[in-house]
Amino acid sequence: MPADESTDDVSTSPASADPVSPNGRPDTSEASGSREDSSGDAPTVHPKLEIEDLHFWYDNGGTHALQGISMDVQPHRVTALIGPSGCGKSTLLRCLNRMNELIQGTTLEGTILVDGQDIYAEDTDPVMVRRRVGMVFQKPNPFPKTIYKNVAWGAEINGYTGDLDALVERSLRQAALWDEVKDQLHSHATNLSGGQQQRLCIARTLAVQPDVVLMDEPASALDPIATSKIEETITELKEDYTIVIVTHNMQQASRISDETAFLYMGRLIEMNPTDQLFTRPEKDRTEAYVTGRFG
Amino acid sequence: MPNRSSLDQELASLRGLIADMANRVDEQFANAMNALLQGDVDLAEEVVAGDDAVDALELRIDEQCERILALHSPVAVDLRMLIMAVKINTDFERIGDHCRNLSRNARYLADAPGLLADTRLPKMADMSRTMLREAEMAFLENDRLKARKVIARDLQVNRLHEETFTTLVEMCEEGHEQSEVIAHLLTVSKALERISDHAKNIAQSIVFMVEGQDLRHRGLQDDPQPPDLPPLDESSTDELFSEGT
Repeated sequence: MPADESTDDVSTSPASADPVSPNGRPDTSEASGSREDSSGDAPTVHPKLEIEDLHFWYDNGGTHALQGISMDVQPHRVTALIGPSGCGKSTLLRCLNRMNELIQGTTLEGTILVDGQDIYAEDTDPVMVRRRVGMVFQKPNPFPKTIYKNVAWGAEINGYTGDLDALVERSLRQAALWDEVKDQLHSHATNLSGGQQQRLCIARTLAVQPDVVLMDEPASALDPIATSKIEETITELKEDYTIVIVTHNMQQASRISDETAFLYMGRLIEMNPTDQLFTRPEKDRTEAYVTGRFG
Repeated sequence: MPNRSSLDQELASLRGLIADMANRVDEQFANAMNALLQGDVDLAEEVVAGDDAVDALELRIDEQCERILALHSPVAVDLRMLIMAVKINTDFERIGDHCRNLSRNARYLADAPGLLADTRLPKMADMSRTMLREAEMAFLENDRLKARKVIARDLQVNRLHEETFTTLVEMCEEGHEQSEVIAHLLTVSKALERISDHAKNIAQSIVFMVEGQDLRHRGLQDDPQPPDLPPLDESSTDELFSEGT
């Protein structure tokens, strides 16, 4: 940090003290993949997700959980959302596939576009949104069915007419689980280890062929070996999918993500390429958080 | 998330070791130049022997850096601090080596008292040592302005080295009777120039640590955050060796 700036007061400063651009987006113009980064001869890559001035309230307006979030998520990249507990990162993640609609007393303002389409438009079917934007949760939650049925279930209820066996195999391979379960596809899924169950849940999400996969602390309940496998899986998945991951583990964010967004008290403080954010963060508040000085 | 208080203790300890290193090297430099100027062979031998302590400190600092990296996985300013520490540790150790090499010239220069003082080498030594001291202060105070002053001064030392080199070569060409001594003075000039280079490296590492800006391999005119530097000239250096010699 420059000598004339201090991080000592960050734990007590309001989040709104950070300079933001006129549209509410923090000044991330140097971040690769941001909409402002269209100079030069580089081909224009359209964001997979475009979030514009997003506000979200819980408790019938009593809790303003997201306060003017604007950010882009680039295709075939892993974007990590980090921040202290209660900063809004899981809320933001669940907004991306309309999961928060299932909670009573919530309100959303702003726009979220997936491939340019407003997912909150009146004529947009939330079930279709959740097919395109799949989700993996913190704790593995396999259905009490066989491994095969777990993976095939989503495709079956969506009327999949292709080769179901091939779909199950492809999904399990993408989730890096095939080699471990190919001889026990009709065994009960709950017999798998925690790490295998989580990769099964990833396979189940992939089987409905989403564009985007959201992950809410997918490895927080797993041991280091299982965590490592999940992280390798995520890195391989970005070739075919766009991934947004919430994690409390900053080392995990630095290992697997291409971009990292730091949220604090419902605001986006900084979004930058991960290597920059963990070596030369632009904002003092980000530096204070990633170095453990507050949070 | 790093264990902040433990990491802070480790970093404070590391900074203390680097400050020790800077002091020890500064002392070696002072003794080496005084040995040369006064033809003090005993003092020169003390400097040669003292280099072992500098080497030992280098290893200790490297171990401390390795330990912090392994145990704390530092990021952001903490990571830059570690990167800087590893780099400036090497620079200080190399300055220590140059001080040892300077001292090895003392016995040859003792045969020609006054010849060194007639050159611009004492002024070069003043400037190099001023750079080293300012680099140390910049480190202790996280002062990016002081660090940039050190970087700017390196050009002055380079210029003096060129002048000294030309003068000494001319003396040889004119058939100076003490050509072997002149050869040793050339070695001294080169060593002082290298010491100032290492001081500049240290200053660049400090700017990197404080700002995240990498100033290596570009002039200060390409500095993305140029501060207002006061004009530097030879008179702005401390007269540590040139006065009264």
